[in-house]
Amino acid sequence: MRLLQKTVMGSALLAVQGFCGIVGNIPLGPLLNQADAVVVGTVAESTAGAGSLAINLTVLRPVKGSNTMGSSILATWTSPLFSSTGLTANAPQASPLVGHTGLWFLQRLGSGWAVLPLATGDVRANGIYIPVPSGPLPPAYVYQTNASLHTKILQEIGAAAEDPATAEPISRLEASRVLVGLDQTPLLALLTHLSSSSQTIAKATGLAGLVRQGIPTAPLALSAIDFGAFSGQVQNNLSNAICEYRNTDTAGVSALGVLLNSRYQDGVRACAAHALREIHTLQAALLLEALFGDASARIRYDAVIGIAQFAMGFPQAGLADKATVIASFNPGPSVTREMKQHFPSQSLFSTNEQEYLSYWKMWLSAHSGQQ
Amino acid sequence: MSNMITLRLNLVLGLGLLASLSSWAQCSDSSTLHYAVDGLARIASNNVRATIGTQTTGDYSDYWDAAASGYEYVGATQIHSGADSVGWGGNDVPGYPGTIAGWYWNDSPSTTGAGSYTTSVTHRTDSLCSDILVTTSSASLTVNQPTISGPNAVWYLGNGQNQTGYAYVTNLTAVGNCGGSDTCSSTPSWTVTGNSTEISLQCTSCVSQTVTAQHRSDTFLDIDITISIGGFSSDPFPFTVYAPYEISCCYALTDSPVSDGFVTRAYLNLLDRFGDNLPGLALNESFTSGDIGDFTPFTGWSTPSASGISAGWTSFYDQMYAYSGCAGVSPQCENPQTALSSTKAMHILQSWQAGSSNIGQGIQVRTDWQQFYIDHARYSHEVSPSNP
Repeated sequence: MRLLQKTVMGSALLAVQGFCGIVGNIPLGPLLNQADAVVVGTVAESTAGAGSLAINLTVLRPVKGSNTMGSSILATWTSPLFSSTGLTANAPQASPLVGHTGLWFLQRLGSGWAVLPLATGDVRANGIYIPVPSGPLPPAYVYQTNASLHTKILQEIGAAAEDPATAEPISRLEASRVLVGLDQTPLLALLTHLSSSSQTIAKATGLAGLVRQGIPTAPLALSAIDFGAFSGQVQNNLSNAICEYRNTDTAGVSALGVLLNSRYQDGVRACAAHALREIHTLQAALLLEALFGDASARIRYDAVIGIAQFAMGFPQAGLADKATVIASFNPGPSVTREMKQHFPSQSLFSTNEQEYLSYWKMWLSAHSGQQ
Repeated sequence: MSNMITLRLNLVLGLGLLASLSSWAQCSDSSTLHYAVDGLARIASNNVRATIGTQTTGDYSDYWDAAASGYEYVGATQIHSGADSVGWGGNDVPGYPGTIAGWYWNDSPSTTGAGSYTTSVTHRTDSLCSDILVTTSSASLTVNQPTISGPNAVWYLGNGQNQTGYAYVTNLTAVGNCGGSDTCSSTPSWTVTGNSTEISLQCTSCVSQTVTAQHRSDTFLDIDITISIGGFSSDPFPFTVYAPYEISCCYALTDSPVSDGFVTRAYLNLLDRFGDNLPGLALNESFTSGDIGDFTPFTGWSTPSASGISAGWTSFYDQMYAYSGCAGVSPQCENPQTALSSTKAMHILQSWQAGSSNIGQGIQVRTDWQQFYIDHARYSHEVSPSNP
């Protein structure tokens, strides 16, 4: 095994390293395409240098590429941010990540490999791989060598989601929306499997993913469970997923209506209202109208916009593609100038809420029988 | 509009406006011919021209007569009626055609409107051959308004800022909606009404238009773009300028130990002025102050460095760190405690900009204080939107 060159970190720090930075998560689909190799590997050695981290990975399972089980990969992660700021390391210990097992995305770099991080911006060492268990895959997650790349990745992630040691990072991974865009069939199969897991966090990860995918049984399940059974972070993940639910199915819309109830925390209610605003059915519009007197200005605004979008025949769009969809949407001839004038920005809405609330209440009253 | 005309049918044929051509009768040498013309077409000025005519020609006929009477409609509404007749009683001149009973109607669709234009004409011809012929004809033309095609939105991200999926310029095309054989080739003129200062147009007289964002919209589709081709106007093409608006905090907050200190991660959402998420839009933070100590003595805490993220992310979070060397600074930092400490160390003023990963560029959407405690960090004095 080739030894990594070690760089001694400065030991006489005069100041605490206090800093901050923004991190943006990258979707896994493009990352998989960009990577020449994807492996499950354990860090055997590492060296932190100026603006870079060198690691020696022992391959446990090759997922993409020609690396074999038990082989070693020398890979480097370079962070422009750390180079530019002159900070000498991204983690405080001299040999960060040693012993950590994860899914690594690697790209050929000359005769070596470069680590493709999972995020952009102020990425730290823990943001350059997906933590997974170091043992063999449980039977439910074993895959064939000729399985599709997306299936392999999702099986590895599934195994990690059900392992108590890695369940939380996988929950955060799902919440960061990076799974959206992977092949629907294996993704839905994984999320469905997780949603019936005996592990609390894994179950929540599965439910959150199914909600994000617009599966009507998922909000129905959420409306029937006690959110208090989950940790605060998992509750946040679940409520954030509700914001992204898009499906006109009546049972799912009814479940969103249940989640508007005041017994739920504000984040859940706000996301249920936001999801209803994007569904554009009469059933959703009537639920939104009932929110015109809500204590939350954000919920009142979403209620108005939801009815306006329904009235104007907005196409349904997911969170990721709404900007594209609305840029090519031209309302039909039934949309009047008056209706458009009553589709306010948030700031305009706040200046005269009653004007917009009254208008859309009257519109819905006049049109609800015609739908 | 009605113009009584003298029309040479061979010219009409050359222009391709002949609706029907028949040789209905002839005397013994087959040289006496009767013509009927009934045509509708768009012309260069974008008007609709109806061409109606009846003619008899012949080498051996001393006398011929031609008459036409007809109507023009748009839909079921009659917009014109007319009649004309001519006769010839001169000498027999080989090769000399008879005169024509006929006329044009020229109408501007900006006045008469779009729709189905039709003509209905009765033609009567006779010659010395005693070949009196009466026939009817009709023509039709569907006239559609000009339209504008293309996206109906751009993004204002600060002057000249452009990001994948959030273009600040877009291209529109004027569509004349003329038929394939029409010649309505007038150059479209473009006008903007409503909130016209929200966009700029590259040209005022052109087919292909470039629209650039100048200012954000306050209501959906609050700009109207119209084209006019030869006075025939399109319906307004509604248009919106979207813009980033706010960063909402926080759908999740975590405090974790790092070495001898801590990292706080705040998970945020970037929204536009209509409450929609803006995934993947480049973003940056900047600091508008240095460290401001909240503890005496305040020594050894380093100043955070600003950063940005480029386009393409699916979600984002902000990290606030203090670690490595905690024992040597004042106040001393530490791992997050079960009950988080209320001892403040320092704060720094933060500004957030959307639309660019370059520090300080883009639209400011939020300001706050990053408040560092000895075992965690939080935001305070949050203002978002900061530019309502």
